[in-house]
Amino acid sequence: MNPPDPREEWMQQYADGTASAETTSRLEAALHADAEFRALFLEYLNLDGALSEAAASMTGQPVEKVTPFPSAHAWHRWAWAMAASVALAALIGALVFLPQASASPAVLLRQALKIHAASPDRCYRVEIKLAPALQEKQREPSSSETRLWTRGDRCWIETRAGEKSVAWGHDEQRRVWFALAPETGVLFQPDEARERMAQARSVMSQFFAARGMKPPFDFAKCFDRLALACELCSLQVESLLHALLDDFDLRREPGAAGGTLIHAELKAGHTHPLYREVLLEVDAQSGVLRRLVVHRLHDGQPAATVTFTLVETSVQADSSYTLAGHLAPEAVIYDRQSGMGKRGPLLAEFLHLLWGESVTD
Amino acid sequence: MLAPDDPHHDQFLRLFTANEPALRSFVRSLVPTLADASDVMQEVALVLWRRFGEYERGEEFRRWAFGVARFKVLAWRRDRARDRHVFGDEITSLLADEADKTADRFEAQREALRVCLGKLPEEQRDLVNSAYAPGVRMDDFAARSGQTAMALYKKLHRIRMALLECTRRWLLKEGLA
Repeated sequence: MNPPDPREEWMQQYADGTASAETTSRLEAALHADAEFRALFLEYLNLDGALSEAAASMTGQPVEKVTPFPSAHAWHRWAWAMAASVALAALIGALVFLPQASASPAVLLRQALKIHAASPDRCYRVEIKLAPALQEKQREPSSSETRLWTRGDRCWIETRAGEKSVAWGHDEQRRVWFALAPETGVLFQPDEARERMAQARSVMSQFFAARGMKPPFDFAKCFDRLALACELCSLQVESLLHALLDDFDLRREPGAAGGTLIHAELKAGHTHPLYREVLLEVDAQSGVLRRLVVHRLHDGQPAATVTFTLVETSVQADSSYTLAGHLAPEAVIYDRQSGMGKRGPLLAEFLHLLWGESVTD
Repeated sequence: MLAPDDPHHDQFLRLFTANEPALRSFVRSLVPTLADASDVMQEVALVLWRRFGEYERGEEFRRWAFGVARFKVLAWRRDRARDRHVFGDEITSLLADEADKTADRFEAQREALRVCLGKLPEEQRDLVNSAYAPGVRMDDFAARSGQTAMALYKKLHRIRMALLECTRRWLLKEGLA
């Protein structure tokens, strides 16, 4: 009897996603060396894919691995791209053929959650009304217009002030990014704000004070405002809806033409770091969230009332949710390694565009 | 991008639907896991849809789609250039060439698989269907069935190899080998 061929084991591990880097490397060398083994490998993987298809058809579940819409994001885009087709109509119909008049607020929110997950990208206009306590420290962004694109739990934001605009957001590693121009991107690590604030207060302030100079801009103020802007403007729809379903009392309110108003207020004894109260307007026909009025908290205190109003539905490139998606291929990205020398003035310019006031004031 | 009411829209759907299994198989042969294949397929499907206006009528759709898919796989691979669990460009291109050439045979193999699955002992067929069902995590499935994930992987491998032999025999019998 022939001993088992170790290459088969490598192939199996590779196909199952359990191969180590070393095994992958050995497998790669074996594939290079032997055309017959390559043929077996390709056959094996073809079979693997076909088994996935067969199993999906047996269960009658959505075919995650088989359709051209295997994961949520692509599926979203496809669903929308074929919005005029029967498929989407049937999908939305199935999800939203809801007796809104009698459905409970929780049922409506769960449906809104499903529809958000199964829909294309949506764009909301963002309007911020700062709470009185913050108004003393921070001017409201009056001259700029901010729009937020969202897909699933991701978002990116576009702020326009006059002729200028900036795309910005935070990625899955919670890094804050912004692109003031296609050739310049800036990235901040999540821990940098706090770190830099402390540094700015101690080192930089002393440095300039010792020389009787005014700092070129206020680092601490910059980071305060960056953190605040991120907190206020971002919207993670899925997380928000889950939080509302778990920790908030929900009740219907009268008043929305063609829609249903749902008021969400923290349950007694529950806390939430970001939201105190939320008003949602759900479209009666589509089940889509048309408007959200979010009472935000910052450091546990009321910070602002932020209104998100649906203005557009369309398909955005996956890359639009990343810094790279807003930059030219040859763009320079200034990150932690670049220090603050380059990023400081860019951050100041970004915040000026956002808040309409100079951080050197 | 095509508008949904564009007359080519239906044509795209027809062509895509007809070629999707071959395309998915092609992508699957070039990336490590089914989940990776799903990710790449998202991108491929979207690019095909967007660029269908550039597709020259009369050109073989599958060839055009495979070209797009190959490009997307290589881009996906380059995004993971430092990931040592992913093959290099050279072997990926070599596999892509060979997968392209054997696409017809693979299609026949998928047909044969239906026959061969029917011949599997019920217990093995149930195992395959359960392990491959959408959204199943192997470690969860193993815990539920009182086995280790490793043991399950080995069982599945043996079943795959048996199915592979069965499909080869069937293709030979049908004169498609």
